[in-house]
Amino acid sequence: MPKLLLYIALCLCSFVTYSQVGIGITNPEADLHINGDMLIQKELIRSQIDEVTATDEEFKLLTRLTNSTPVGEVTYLDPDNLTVAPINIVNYRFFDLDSDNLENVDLQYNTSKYVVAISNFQYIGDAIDKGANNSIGAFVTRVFPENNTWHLEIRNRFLDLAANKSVEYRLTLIVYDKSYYKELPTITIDLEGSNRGTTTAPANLN
Amino acid sequence: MKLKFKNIELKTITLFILILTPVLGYNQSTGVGIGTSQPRATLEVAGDATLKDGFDIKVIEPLVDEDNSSFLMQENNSNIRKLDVSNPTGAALGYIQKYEIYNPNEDWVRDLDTGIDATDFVVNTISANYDRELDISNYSTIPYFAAIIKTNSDGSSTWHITADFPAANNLDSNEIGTWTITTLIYSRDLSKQLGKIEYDMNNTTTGTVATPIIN
Repeated sequence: MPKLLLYIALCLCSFVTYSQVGIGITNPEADLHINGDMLIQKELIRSQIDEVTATDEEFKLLTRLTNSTPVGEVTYLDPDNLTVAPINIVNYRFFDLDSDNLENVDLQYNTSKYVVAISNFQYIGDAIDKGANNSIGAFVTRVFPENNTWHLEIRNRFLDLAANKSVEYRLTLIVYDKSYYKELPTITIDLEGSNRGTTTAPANLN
Repeated sequence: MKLKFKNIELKTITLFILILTPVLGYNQSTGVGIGTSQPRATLEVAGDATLKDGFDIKVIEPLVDEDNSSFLMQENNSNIRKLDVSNPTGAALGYIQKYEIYNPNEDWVRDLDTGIDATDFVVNTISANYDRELDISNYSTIPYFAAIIKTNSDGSSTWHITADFPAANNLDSNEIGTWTITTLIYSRDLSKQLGKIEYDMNNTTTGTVATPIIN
């Protein structure tokens, strides 16, 4: 009889505490309070989630590890803690050039890991004189892949600075981590001599 | 009577075990398993979990350099999903798209419709170059390249690319040139359009502009 009562009491207990369940804790503070870690093998479905508001600060993006044991540990992204963030900003200054010609500098960023782009370009120094037939040449600033790394070209391909004149180049390189950013295949369009045209948007971006 | 109680007792125990066994696996040392008898965490759910209200995690470890990871995204009021960039058709935080625009009107790309939806995406030109020798008679010039939003004849808004060396032309007008324009494309879900700031320099060379970001 006492045993039966105990079982009934236990059963009742499980119903009484149904609205607030604690695992590893006797006074749960939420409907389910786990005093430890939780592992969900399949989906986690949230039927209500609060938004980050404009005045919130110090929030972090959440990431999911693919190399944890078991796989799927939830971590947060703190760029200060990492050598490489999703977006990395590096300032460069190139000086003591051969005329205006920075023909090919290996920036040594691996093309399989990063996408590199130029921004904030500054040309500081003497202007390039016009060439024959009013030519202003073609001034090119670009990054390009070569031997699996990103390279830089900044120069007027057709004209040079006059002797004793000089220039330096400053720029910001934006280095995107390919873990988060995707380099899409180049779109080539033939405008057939027109100055207007239309092309198809990359897949899923239309 | 004793026998009767024993039966009830037995049934109760059986019922109790029947209720719990298939649902909960309790392991004193490691925790509670739902759908598993060997939980690897304080609570392991061998299946889906649905949360109706709030969700707090007191300890989240920071990502370290040697980790491989993907971002987590909340679908509208439903599943938490990962952003898997390695998936060729999957989404990314942003896209780098290079355009090679061949044979424009000499050096002039007045209006190229990229077809990219302006209501869902932002397109920024980040670098560009033109590959032919140019000439100019009386002026000097600076090249420009930009992505702008235009409303098309069907009412949709898409991103258009424009690029030019104003007043300059190909030195040899028979040469065919190529503009190479690199763009960064990202979702409006990840970015905010802070509007346009117009600032009168009052005929001076320096100034201060208020930031549109809430401090």
